[in-house]
Amino acid sequence: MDLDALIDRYRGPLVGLLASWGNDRGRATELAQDTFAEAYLGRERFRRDWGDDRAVGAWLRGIARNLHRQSRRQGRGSPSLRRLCALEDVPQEHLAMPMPADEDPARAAVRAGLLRLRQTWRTVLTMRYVEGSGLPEIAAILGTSVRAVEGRLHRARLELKAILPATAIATRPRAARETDR
Amino acid sequence: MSAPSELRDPTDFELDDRELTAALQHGLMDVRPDPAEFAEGVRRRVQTRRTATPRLSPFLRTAAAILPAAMLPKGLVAATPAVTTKVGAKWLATVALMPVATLAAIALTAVALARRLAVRTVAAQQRDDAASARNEIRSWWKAHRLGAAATPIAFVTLLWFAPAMAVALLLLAAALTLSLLWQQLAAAGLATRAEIGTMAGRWLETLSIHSLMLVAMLGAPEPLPIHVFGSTDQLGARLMAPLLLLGAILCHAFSRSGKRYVARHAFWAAMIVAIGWGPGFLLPEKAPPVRSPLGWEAAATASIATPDFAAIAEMATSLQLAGTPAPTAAELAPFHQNVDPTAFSYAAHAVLDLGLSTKEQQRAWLARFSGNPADENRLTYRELVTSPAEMLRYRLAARAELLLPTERDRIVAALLAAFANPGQHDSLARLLAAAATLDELGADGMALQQRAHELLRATAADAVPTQGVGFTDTRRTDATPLPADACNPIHSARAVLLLARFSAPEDLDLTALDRHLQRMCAPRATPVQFGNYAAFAGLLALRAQPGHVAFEPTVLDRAARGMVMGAVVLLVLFAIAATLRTKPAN
Repeated sequence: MDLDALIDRYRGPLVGLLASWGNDRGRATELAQDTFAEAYLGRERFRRDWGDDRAVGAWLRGIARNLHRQSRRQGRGSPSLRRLCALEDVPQEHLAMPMPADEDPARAAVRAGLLRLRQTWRTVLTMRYVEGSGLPEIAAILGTSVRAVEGRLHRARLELKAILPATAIATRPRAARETDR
Repeated sequence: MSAPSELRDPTDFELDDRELTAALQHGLMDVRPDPAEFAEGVRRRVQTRRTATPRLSPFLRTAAAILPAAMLPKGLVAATPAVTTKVGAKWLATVALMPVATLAAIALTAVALARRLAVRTVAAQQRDDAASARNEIRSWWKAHRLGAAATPIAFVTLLWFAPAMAVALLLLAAALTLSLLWQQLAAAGLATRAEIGTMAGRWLETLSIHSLMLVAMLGAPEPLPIHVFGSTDQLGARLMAPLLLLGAILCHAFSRSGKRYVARHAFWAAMIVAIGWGPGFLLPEKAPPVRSPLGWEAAATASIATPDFAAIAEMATSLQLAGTPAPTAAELAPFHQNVDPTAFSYAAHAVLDLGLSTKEQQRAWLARFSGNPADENRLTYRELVTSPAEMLRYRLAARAELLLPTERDRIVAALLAAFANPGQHDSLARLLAAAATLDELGADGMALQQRAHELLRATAADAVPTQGVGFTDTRRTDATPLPADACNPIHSARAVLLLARFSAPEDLDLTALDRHLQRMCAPRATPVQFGNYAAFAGLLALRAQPGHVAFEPTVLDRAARGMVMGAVVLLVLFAIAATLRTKPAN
């Protein structure tokens, strides 16, 4: 198992998936890193073919889901219970998503629009556009086909465009538009 | 945060609407990790987790806080020094896991000694860490020794006052929790296979030794009459200890702590089985004949006490009613040779009932009485007329044809008048003797039916409905219901004879009596007591009555019957799984 290749292939979709579940950037990154570390340390337990993208994707998704739930539980646990069990303290910044004061209005509008979408659309958009990940990797993580991902992506974009104000696209900084080109 | 990355394999709709695509990439730029930092973070985590102690679950930390240090694996002790000082938390945990602490403290004393010796052999640094953590735990136990001592006392007190099944369930829950602790220890890699295997093996071994006591304490989970006589239910109960022993041996074997140790353990297991329970324990008994208590009594006491012969004779009568082979006259002969009719009148009545006495013996008995039995003055005293000795005298005189018809009529009238109203000394046995006497005198014993029904109602003890309806021999003195434990299996079986003789009163629940007798069949001590056999004979007689509806165990009863065995199988599987899940020491 090549750890670097695994990270390179699935980093974007995994971070996007975790972000779509409500984790902020720092938490999503940490959980994704934890997921890869757990997967690597527990690679002996993976009994499928490493070339089977769907199996690898399902495995990573399972680990990520467990870590996400564990993280949520630790965050929600009552203080007395946490003291009793001597759980590790959850950093305060991970319990809420701070909004920078100088937030780019266009970026904020896109985020707000994503939050208004249903979970399925939000997930596929986040997985795709966090890093511009390939559709096969996204399909592997989601456990579905490339064609299904493409369909979801198309519908998600249409819905987002319908609720996104036109200014959110037009008012992007010039530097950003230049970079796109 | 990194710069926008290339979109891999853009689709047509993404190319058609580049503005939206770019806006999305820009909007999610914050979430994008730096690839190099990300990969470095993953490698750092891998490295850290390879070298660091595994993260403990709250359950393991709590267990580490409350269990004595000597009972914990080295890895767990070294990993949890921080959780040993929060007193309040520990008290809460102690209360929550009281059964675990109690059971484990009792069962694993030997492990504690072994572990203390083992600690001396670890490396110096490990020893320091483990010793300091252990000292912290020990100091807590020292500071709360009163509470620690009170816990097992409270548990023992519970044994006395709580229902046995509740205590057993509590113990089972504790045992399951303990095995769960091992599962987690194993999964966390905090203990070697040898440690877990040894702990689990010794724990199962201890449980197996105590399982017989537990079975005795509980009686039978389901009181079926066949339980006494080697049914599959009893087989299940008898298999508990061997199954636990087998689990212990397997745990030791899988822990690979040395073939010699396993062999020694197996030897001790065999010794426990051989010495503690005898060869009959492993092999299910064949149903012993009901006559065996007679042989047992004779062997145990050399000469059976004469009053018990009445109960034996009642059992024989019950078996006759049920159509089951009863003891033969030759078998019963040794027990009634020296019956004193004045001191043990009921035994003499039984001898007459079973036709075991000769005319010479009857004449000898009659010679011990003086005066005319039909004397009018004597017949005016109710307590004298209804005394078993006096009624025996009437029977003997009638058999010897010493009574004139008028004398017979006078005695019958006196007897019926005496039993017309309840007396202070009325009992089931006395009424049975009266019925036999009336039969002997040529009168209709059924004349006593109303009194018999009244007496059956007055001697029924049914304060605990779930235990059925049993009987005491003598009537209650007031209207207060008798507690269920006031009744006696011999008396209940005697009531069945009365029911067979006089039919049952309509308001008496015979199914409840069936249930009670089933319960009384279950042995609560070894060897099986005479009362168990008497109840069994009574049950057979009751079920031989026309139209009788036997008590059928409910679904819950059946579930409870299988629960203990299921829990034992579960414990063994858990212990073996915990052992196998632990990696062997390098």
